[in-house]
Amino acid sequence: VNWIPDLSAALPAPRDDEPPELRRRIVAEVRDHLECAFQRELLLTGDAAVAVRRVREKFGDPAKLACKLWVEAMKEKIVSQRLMLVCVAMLTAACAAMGIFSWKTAEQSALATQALVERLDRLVLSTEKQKSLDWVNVHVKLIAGDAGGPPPAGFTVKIDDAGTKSLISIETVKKSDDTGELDFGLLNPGRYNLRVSSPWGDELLKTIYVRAGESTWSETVICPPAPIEESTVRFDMEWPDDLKAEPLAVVIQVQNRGRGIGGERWHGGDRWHRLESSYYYVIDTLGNVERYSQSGRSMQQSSEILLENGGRLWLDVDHLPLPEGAIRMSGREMEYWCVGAIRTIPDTKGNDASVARRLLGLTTLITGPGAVSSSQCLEFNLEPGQLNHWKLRFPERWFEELRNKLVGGEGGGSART
Amino acid sequence: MDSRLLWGTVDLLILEVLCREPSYGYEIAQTVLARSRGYFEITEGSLYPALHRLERQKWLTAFWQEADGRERKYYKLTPAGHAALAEKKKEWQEFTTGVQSLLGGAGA
Repeated sequence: VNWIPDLSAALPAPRDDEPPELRRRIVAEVRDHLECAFQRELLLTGDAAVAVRRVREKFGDPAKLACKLWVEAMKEKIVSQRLMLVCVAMLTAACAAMGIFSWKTAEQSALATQALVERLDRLVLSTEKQKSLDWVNVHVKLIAGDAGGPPPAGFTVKIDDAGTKSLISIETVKKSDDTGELDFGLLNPGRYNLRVSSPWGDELLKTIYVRAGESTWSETVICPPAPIEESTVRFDMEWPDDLKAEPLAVVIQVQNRGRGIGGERWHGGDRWHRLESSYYYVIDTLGNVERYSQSGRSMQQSSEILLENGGRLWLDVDHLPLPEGAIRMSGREMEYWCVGAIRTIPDTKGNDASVARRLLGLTTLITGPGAVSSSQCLEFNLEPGQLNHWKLRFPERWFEELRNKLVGGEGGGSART
Repeated sequence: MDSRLLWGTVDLLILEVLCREPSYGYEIAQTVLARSRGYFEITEGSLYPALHRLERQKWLTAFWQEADGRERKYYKLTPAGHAALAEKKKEWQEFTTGVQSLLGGAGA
C-alpha cells in the first residue's frame, strides 16, 4: 500500500542544518507503523480494502504526523536560528542606532567647531582690524598700455616718505617681474611718494595716501608700453614782411610736458630734459635754426630738430640763462613763454657752427627786460613718424613794439653793422 | 477515558513497556493496549512525538533494524530512562495513593 505517496512534499523545505537522514527515517517509521497496522487489520478482516480504510481512519493524516515529527526534531535548531536572527537584527538595529547617534554627535560637534572657528575668525578679524590702524599692507600692480594690458617687467617702483612727515622713515625700491605685482609689505598710514621708472627712462611721480583702517592698500599704475619715438620738427616763424629783411631772430625753448597714460602724466626724466629742455633755439628771419645748450656754445644750424614724441611741447624761455646774443622778451606773468628777438648780422646762412657762433658774438642785442612786454605760450603736438611743421605766430603788437625799438635804436647798440 | 488523564501518563507507560526489552512504535502501542486490557489506547499522534521527545531527553536510545523487508526503528531504555522510570513510578504511586485515600475517605 502506498501510504505516503508524496510525504516529502508535505514536509517543510529542506534546511542546511537538517540531519541528512531525518526525513527518510521519519517516513520509514511512519510507514512501518502503517504496515503493521494494515497486517493486523488484514488478519482481523480478511479484506485488504477494508483493512486499508480502517487503518487510514484510525491513523489519520500520515503527512501531518510526519510534519509534526520533523518540526519537533528541528525545533531546537529553528528556535536557536530564530533567536540568532533576532539577535542579529537587534545588533544591527543597535549598530544603526549607534551609527546614527555617532553621526548626530559628529554633526553637532562639527557645528560646534564651525561656530567656534567663526568666533575665532571674528576675533582674528577684529584683531587685524585693530592692527590695520597701525600697519597697512601696500601693494602696487603695474599694467602696460591700458587697463587690460600685460604686466610690464623691468619697471622700478620706489616708495619713500620724503617730505611726507611720516613717523617712520622708509625708502623701498622694487623691480617688477612678469607678474607686474609688487608687495611693499606693511607701512604706516600716511602720505608717500610713489616713483615708477620705465627701463628706458620714463618716469611717473605721484603722491599716494595710505589710509588707516584697511588691511590692504592697493595701487594700479598704467605704464607706457614702449619708449616714445623721435620725430622731426621744423619751425616756421611767420615774420611780418617788413621785418623779414631785418637781422632778427626768435629764441625759443621747447619743453615736453610728458605724455598722459592712464590719467597720469609720465615724464621723460633726465633724457628728455637733455634732449629738449637743455636747449633753446634761435630762429632767424630766413628760417635757420640754431640750437644752443645752456652752457652756451654748442650749436648746430638747421631748420629741423629732432624731438621725441611724447605729447605736447611747450615753448619756454623763462628761468633759463640766455645765450650770448639772445634776449628774453619778457616773462612777466606766465611761466611759459616762447619768443625773444635778437638782432643779428644779415649773413646767418652759413652752415658752419663757428660762423654762427661768430655771428652771435657780433650781435647787437635788444636789451632790457620787458622791452617787449608780452609772453606767449604756444602748444604743439608731435606726430610720430613724419616731419612736423610748427608755425610760430606771435601777436602783432609784439612786432609793433619791436619796430619801435628798432627805429628808436634801443638795445644798447647799433642794429646794423 | 479522558485524554487529559492519559496525557500525563504517556511517558510512564512508554518507559514501562520499554524497560523489559527494546520495542518499536506499533508494538509499544499494542502492548500498552493489551496490558491495560484495552483501557489505554495511545494514538499515533501522541505516541511518536513522545518517543522522539524521550529520545532527545536521552531516556531512550534508538536503533534501526530490518524486519519484514523494511526498516524498523526500535527504542531501548537508557540508564537515565531507568532512573526516570523509577522516579515516575514512585510519583505515580504517591499520586494514586493520595487520590485513593481521598476517594476512599469520601466514600466512608
